[in-house]
Amino acid sequence: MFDTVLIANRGEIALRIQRACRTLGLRTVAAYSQADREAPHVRHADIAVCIGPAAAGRSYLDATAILLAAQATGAGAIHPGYGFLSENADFAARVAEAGLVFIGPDAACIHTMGDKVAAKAAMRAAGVPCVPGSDGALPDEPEAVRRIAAETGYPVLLKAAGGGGGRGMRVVREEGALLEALALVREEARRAFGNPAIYVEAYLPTPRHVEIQVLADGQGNAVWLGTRDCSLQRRHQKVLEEAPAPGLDPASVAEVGDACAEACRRIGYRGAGTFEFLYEDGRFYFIEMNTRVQVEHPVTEMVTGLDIVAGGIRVARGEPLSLRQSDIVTRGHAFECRINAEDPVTFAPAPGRIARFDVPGGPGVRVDSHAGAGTVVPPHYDSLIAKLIVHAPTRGEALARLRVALSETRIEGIATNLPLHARILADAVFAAGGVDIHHLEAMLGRAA
Amino acid sequence: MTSPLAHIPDLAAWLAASGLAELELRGPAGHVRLVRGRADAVTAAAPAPPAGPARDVVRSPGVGHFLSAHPLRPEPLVGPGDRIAAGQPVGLLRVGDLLVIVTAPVAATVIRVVAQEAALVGYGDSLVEIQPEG
Repeated sequence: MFDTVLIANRGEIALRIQRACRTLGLRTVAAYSQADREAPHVRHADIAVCIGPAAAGRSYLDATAILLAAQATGAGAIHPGYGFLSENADFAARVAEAGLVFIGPDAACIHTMGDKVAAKAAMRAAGVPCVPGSDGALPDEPEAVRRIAAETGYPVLLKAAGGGGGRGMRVVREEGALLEALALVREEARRAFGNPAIYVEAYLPTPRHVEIQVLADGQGNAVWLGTRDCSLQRRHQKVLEEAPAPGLDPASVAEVGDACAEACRRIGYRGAGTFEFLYEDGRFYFIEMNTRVQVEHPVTEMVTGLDIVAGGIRVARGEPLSLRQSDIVTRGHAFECRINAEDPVTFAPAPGRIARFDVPGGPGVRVDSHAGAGTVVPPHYDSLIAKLIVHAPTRGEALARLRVALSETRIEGIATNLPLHARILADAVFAAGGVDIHHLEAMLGRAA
Repeated sequence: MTSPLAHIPDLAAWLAASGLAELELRGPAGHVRLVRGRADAVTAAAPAPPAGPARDVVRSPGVGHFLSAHPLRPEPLVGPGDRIAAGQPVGLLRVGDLLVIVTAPVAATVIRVVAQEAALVGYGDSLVEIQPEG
């Protein structure tokens, strides 16, 4: 069994993983780029080794460099964190072939969940509710396409099987516009993704983004750890998250949660993972599964009292899950603000040197960050510099704590999105709870 | 982990396919410049040494345990005072059974080997101090 974990990531999540390893008594290897020489997880590592220059393609995305670093340092496992190589099935396979443990699911699971059509089929089989639509790619015959769209029910969404991140999608509101839109999306998909396969889904006009955290051991045990609401997004990027998602019917949440755990058991899933759903009119619709730990995992940790990162490492060590579903209790409410080094108005990344960083405190306040006064935020990576997390017995009390904590937080020397969070917390609609995924962009649009 | 020079055929093929006139890569270990359509135009060199006797170092191209000699040979690859040509091996990185050759970026005289024998080194770490020629 491994006793040394190589952390193949950077920033706050590298530090978070290292904390989990150290509390479990495991040694850590920091594999860092030249831009991250001064990072705290590099300082605290048992072994720290520079694997390449700042450019991610030659460091955090360089699978060969990471595998060589693991071998040279005697690491027995690799933790990919989020982003970078975390959902790369080929990398997971190479780690296993090298005789090391990939902390996460196996390559086959990652591969299945990365293919939208295959993922949906696996979810249907486990009873996870999906967005109604075509089973797989649309045929060529116009009559068949019309029939499938009519059965799905207008408005429909035409989606490229190879697309993602908001690209290769088109809303069709009535049958008269269907075939022309299909031809356009097909051509776009052929050019942009080299894959003309298109499928159809019902279009949900004002959904919320609700997700369910799972933890599974790959040995037949899986639990779900409640919901999160991540509807506050801008250009598909989450800005502020909370747990649990407010105002949901507990019985229907439990039904969907049990189906997620069942899906994990069926596909032999191991590790932490997240099922993402659109939620509208009291119903859940599966969108995708993230086969890794997520940025917003702390809000679930706050309400469940569990260490999700440590849990993922323990199951990777081969320990069976000791938790049963009846052990999972969520208490109170938690929020997380993603604090980014970016212009609060234009959202352009704002790298540079942090001159001052006042960290908030008090009951129920947690800050996950690798940054402090003097930290240089490099331009090569995403702009997340800190996560401000609060927990309180009720949503209202948590909001009050968040407002105070945010007002105590002060970052100078670089631009941050702290003013954006202050605006969100002053918004009465958000305070009431349950906004849809368009709310933040609409709010920003109104202000412009 | 390989020398940048090993990638020149690939780079040349990409350049030929891209429609670009020129391709230049700069990094801490050196720079490579490829120009289309000129037989003599492939150049590869370390950052030009400043005029005068400025010292330079050979840096590690990646992660490994530094060896000054091949495991099957007793004598070190280079020692103080040795004159070395550009591209000449000056040390090795061991990762498991794999040995990666570390080469001199320029013609130079070796001042001293600075890396500890069998020490773990990372990308960009100083291995051998040299005095470039010219």
